[in-house]
Amino acid sequence: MILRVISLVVLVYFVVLEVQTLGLLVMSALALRRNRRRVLHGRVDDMLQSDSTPPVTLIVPAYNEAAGIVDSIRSRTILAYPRYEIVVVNDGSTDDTMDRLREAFHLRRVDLPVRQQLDHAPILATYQSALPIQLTVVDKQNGGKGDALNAGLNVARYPYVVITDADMIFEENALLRAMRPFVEDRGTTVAVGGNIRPLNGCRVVHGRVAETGLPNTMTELAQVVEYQRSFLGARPGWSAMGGLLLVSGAFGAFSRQALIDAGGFPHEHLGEDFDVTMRLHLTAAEKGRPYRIVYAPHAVVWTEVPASRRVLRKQRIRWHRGLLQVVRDHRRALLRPKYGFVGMVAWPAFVLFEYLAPIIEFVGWLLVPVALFWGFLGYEVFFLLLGIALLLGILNSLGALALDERYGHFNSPRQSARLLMVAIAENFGFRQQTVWWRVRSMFWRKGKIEWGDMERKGVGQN
Amino acid sequence: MIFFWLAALTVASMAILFVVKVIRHRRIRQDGLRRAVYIAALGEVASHGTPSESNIAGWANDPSFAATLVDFLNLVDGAERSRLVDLADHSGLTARLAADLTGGRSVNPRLDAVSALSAIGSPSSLPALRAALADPIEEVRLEAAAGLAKIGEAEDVEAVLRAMEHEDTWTAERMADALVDFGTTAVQALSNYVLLAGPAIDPVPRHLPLVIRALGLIGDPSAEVALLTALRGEDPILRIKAASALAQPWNSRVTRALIRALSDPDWRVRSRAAAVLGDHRDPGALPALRAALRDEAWWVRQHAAESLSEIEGGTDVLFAALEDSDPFAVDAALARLMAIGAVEGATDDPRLRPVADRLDPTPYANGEAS
Repeated sequence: MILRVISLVVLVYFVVLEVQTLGLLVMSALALRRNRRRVLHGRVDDMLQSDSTPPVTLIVPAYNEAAGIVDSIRSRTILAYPRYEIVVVNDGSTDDTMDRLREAFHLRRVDLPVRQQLDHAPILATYQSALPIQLTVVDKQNGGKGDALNAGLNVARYPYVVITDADMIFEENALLRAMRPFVEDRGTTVAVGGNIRPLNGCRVVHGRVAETGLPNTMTELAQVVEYQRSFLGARPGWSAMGGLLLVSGAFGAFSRQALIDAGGFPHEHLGEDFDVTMRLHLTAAEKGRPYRIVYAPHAVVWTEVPASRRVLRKQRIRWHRGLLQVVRDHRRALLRPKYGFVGMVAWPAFVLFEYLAPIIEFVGWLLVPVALFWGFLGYEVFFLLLGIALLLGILNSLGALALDERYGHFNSPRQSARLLMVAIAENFGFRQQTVWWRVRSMFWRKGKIEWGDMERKGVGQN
Repeated sequence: MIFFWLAALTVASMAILFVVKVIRHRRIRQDGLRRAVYIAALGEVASHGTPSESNIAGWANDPSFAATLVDFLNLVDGAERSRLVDLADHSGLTARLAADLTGGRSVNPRLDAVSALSAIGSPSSLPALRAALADPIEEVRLEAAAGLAKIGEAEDVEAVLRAMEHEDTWTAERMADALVDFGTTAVQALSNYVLLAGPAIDPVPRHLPLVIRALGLIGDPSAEVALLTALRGEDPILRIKAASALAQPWNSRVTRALIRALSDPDWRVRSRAAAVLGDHRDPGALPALRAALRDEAWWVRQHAAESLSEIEGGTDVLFAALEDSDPFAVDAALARLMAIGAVEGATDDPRLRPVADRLDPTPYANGEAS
């Protein structure tokens, strides 16, 4: 009897999960429609000539990034934005990241004032480029990604900062579009998340995506669909409702003062971006300050996603461990009216459908076949619920692909057809594998996973 | 039953998505071909003038023609541009777009029409663009303001100023950008706006700082009186904007006013004045900037040091500041000297003696890799 109830609960849970995702997809579609009009006809490019466009500091933490650091920084020096500086924080790299930066950008040692508003490992020296570009390099002892970001925040000159990974390829207007919400509402906007797309399969020329394409392996293709589900199918919806819980550290814009007030980035954390977004929500709610954290779907950057299952496994385990840390640290906000929509809806929904999902799915794998075998669960009910959950999942992926169609990133029908096939195929194998990794990360803590573990081919070599 | 319907919905969704993709892909290719034809024709028109009526019949109703013309107009100016604007009028495109803008209820066709009219900038579209300043959709109002600026009739400056007063920050800022595009035509109206909204008027118009900024960006000397008045005003935000707007070294009166602004009670005004004085490159500002190195605000010291390095003789002043009794002045001067490479390989320079202990060679300082 108990087995039957558990099996039914698991199956119904998946139906509810997919219905919730479908609802979010509809919200996202409406939000994207509004946003598209603003981007196409809102004269965003006029910000380029405007001296009222706020200056921005781009903070690029780097740890053993020698392979691609020079191309990556070079591509950031030609962004369409009126006034910005780049602060690269070399977090005690053991390869020749620092040497490559010095040679490529003619670094000079300059004693820059460093505010001590946030704690971080000691800074060894600060450098500025002798070239006509606003580039500052902070050379510091190793302390982790959050620590490097805090050092960057202390050195940053400008009131807004954009946090970005070293391997990102920016679309020319990405920065301008990410900063628009701050210009619209300077008083209350504290963070803006950008749209991250997989770079694998695209052709990169001189630090720009010259031609979009799709990768060849199922591991990479499934991630393309995953990213579209997340960045087009879910985040615009959460953003429109005021419940965006994650501004990705790979590309996110923040009010510097809001980050300082929230205590900066956590040290020794695997989900420092998630943690800091949650703290921005909770700090503002506790102080009773009006605030907004929004998503800018047209601010696009491209990143290499893991091409092999081994690297993907490490990445997913790191992400899920980060998620566990965040859930543990912010459980106090769960179902607390004080935190408004975030406390009552967004955060509980996240815990229910993200944190618990792998456990429930895993339990389902174990128990449902047993229940079927012993006859506690009818085959009819089993296939009906499983089928509904699967079909709703596929519909969600198709919805995200339909939204992507509006942006025209993948032009040929052949590419569309491949993605449509992947939207079905990922449910048989890939999804189960990622669930297994996430469950493993909860119960087996063997081995230390650090930032910078991702293996890259180097973005300039595509 | 639910399962069946969901399965059917999934298959139908996939089929629709694929078919839509194929249709769009074909349309894009066909559009590309038509555009290629129009590009050739527009090149001919830009060089030799409008062709006969029979040749351009039907162009006005083809969206590809409007899109190609708009793109083409971004590449040409002068007589070539005038010929293409004439073509837009002759072909009936301007009239068709104006009708779409004023007669349509759907948002997207109105937006497409106003963006195209704004890019074309034909005087015959003035009535439609003026009416669009009151459109309920903010993007339509924005494009209309940009179009009016492109045409550049002085009487429309005030219409845009009036429209700005009811807009939110974003839209008002973009409309202020349009004011800049009016160019010198707008200076008289904008100067009057600043002078009439002086301290006597309470409250100060919400978007006055944007108007001051626009005057600075236009950079016409006839705005001097208005900007100097704003620099002496009571509102610090207006003083900040005025100091920034006075970046052009029109005459010594402006430079002297900025030097006086280095003593402003608000550090933001002092900071902007210190930054702008570097653009003036007037050696008469050196003593005041030297004094600003001791300012209590970091940004003022920073900008003063940067400006000193840009004015002839300023580097000597920075070296002299290394002996200052105020350690903050020394920091600002040394950081700037390091940034411009003046201390690289010059550790024996006697002027660096006061800071010799801070110039210890470290890895990278002398080009040595660790």
